[in-house]
Amino acid sequence: MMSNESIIKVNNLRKEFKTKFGNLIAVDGVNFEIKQGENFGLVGESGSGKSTIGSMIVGSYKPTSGTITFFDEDISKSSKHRSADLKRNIQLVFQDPGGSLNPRKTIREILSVPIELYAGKRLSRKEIDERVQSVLTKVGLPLEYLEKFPRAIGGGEKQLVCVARALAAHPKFIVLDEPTSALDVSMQAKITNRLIELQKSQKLSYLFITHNLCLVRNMCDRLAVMYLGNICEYADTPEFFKNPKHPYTQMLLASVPVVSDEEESLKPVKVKSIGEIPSPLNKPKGCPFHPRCPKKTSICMEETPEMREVSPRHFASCHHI
Amino acid sequence: MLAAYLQKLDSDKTNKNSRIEQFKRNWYKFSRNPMNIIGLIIVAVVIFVTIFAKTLAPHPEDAGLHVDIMNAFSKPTLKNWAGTDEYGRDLFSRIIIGLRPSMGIAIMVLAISVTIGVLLGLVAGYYKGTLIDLLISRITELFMSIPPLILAMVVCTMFSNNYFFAAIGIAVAWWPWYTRITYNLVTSLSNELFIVYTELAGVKMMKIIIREMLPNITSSILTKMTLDTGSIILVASSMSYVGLGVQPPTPSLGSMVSEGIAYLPEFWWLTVMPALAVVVIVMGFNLLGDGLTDVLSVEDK
Repeated sequence: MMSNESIIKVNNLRKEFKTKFGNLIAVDGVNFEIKQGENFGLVGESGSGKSTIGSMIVGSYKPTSGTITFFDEDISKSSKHRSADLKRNIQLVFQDPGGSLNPRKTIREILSVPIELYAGKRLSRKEIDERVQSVLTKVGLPLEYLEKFPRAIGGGEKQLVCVARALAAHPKFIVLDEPTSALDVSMQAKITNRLIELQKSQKLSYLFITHNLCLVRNMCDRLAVMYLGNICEYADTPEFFKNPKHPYTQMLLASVPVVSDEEESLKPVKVKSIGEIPSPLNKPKGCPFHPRCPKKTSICMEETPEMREVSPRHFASCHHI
Repeated sequence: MLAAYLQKLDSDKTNKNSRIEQFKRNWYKFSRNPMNIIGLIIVAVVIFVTIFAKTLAPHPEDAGLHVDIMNAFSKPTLKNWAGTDEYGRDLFSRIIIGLRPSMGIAIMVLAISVTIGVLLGLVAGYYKGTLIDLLISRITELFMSIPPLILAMVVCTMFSNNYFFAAIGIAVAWWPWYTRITYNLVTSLSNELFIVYTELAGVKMMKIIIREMLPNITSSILTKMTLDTGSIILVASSMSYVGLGVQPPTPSLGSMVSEGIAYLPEFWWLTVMPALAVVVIVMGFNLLGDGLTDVLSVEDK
């Protein structure tokens, strides 16, 4: 399935926003690559910069510095300056399915938009209809939904329509920005399973942005944990959950709520969570995590740790590993 | 009860057409408030009477320079429902025929100000933050800072004092409000994810405005138009009260009130009847507008 060719490569990516209160560093020098056919997870608390990375990949913002490449093409530019083919190949599914569907249009009309847009030629009414029906079937929704308005269907179904809209473009890569966080738990499982099926059948690659570690474990091949605009740990999913290295990752894993005591005892490390993520407006000097870190020493307050390979294919940035 | 009814509508699989379904749903919500129905009936009657004024009026000849001194100053009776004026003309007929210019002005004003206002609002809203936005917004504010009645009077006296320029005058004062409402709707819409999606996907600007944005603002614009019809009739009546717009002997509601004032309080019906007509018409449009606001704002949620 997974090939060795990388589909997305992010190199020293940086994004600053100018605000009234000073410069907000949302993403601070991030490197990672996503292989073709891979499902890459980006995990972090709110304000860690994970969604900003997704937005830069789809072209909502232009990076302040650094590059993003799609295959070998430099795509570090806003969507206005991207070619139609590039826009078609990189699709986005938003967190809020309700807001991302026009309330005045039927599902048929909503799905026709990317089909007409990316067809490259004028399609007849019939051709459009056929394609609309085929994408709706792909995501597993019944055809009678075509005439419905978004208001008349449930949240999970709306999200499936959003996925169908992304698929209608025949993309190679989809950014899923917390696609399940607005949904019920039962619906979350349904959507994630559907997404995995689609990834296999349509040969897609995903960037899965989420704060939900359980979902990542079930969905992603590889994942990166972000904290205040930096990646602090980066590993294959099984290795990551077995052997978390970074103190922040350990804290994150320890704080996942579980159903039973047995499960609690299965957690790899037990660390108590202290404090909250600071504002990216005044980022701590040195290691960004040091104010909350149980292992901190004087070096953490002075020097920003480098990303190191702590075991094969497992990277972390901490002075104390 | 509402929830149960809506559920029934949702589960009604035989009803294939979503738009009809949506209309049914809205009609149900609208009809639950009797005030909305009263408003709708008043507006329907006003429109009907306006169209068929000449046929419906019991004494159509009284719209002009007809004199029947024997009948002058008759109290409201079964023969003359609203009484007669100083020339013995039937007030009821004159009120019905006087509706025509009022409604005509309202339609003209709305046609002009909605076209100009919505167009400029769409453009300014879409180019928010640019020079185009700045220019349109400042011009809009300039026109908004002058009271509509005064602006309309200036236009009417500057050009020609007739029915047509009265409408132009009011429209000059009216369009900025449509620019403002459209501008606000468009700017709040452009932050919505479904618009962000179309922008990212690369849909052309005109298509975004017409296909994605316009359907989301029409209901608000229509509601405002309904509410405004009453206000425009009021402004038109105020203008004809001071002698601008429709010229005698053609009856208009405002001029009838002002002519009747000379005979107060003895012949009260000369002022009260046409004034009452204005009140009822304006109230009808306001009730209907409020009803539409209720339905459409609930629908959006």
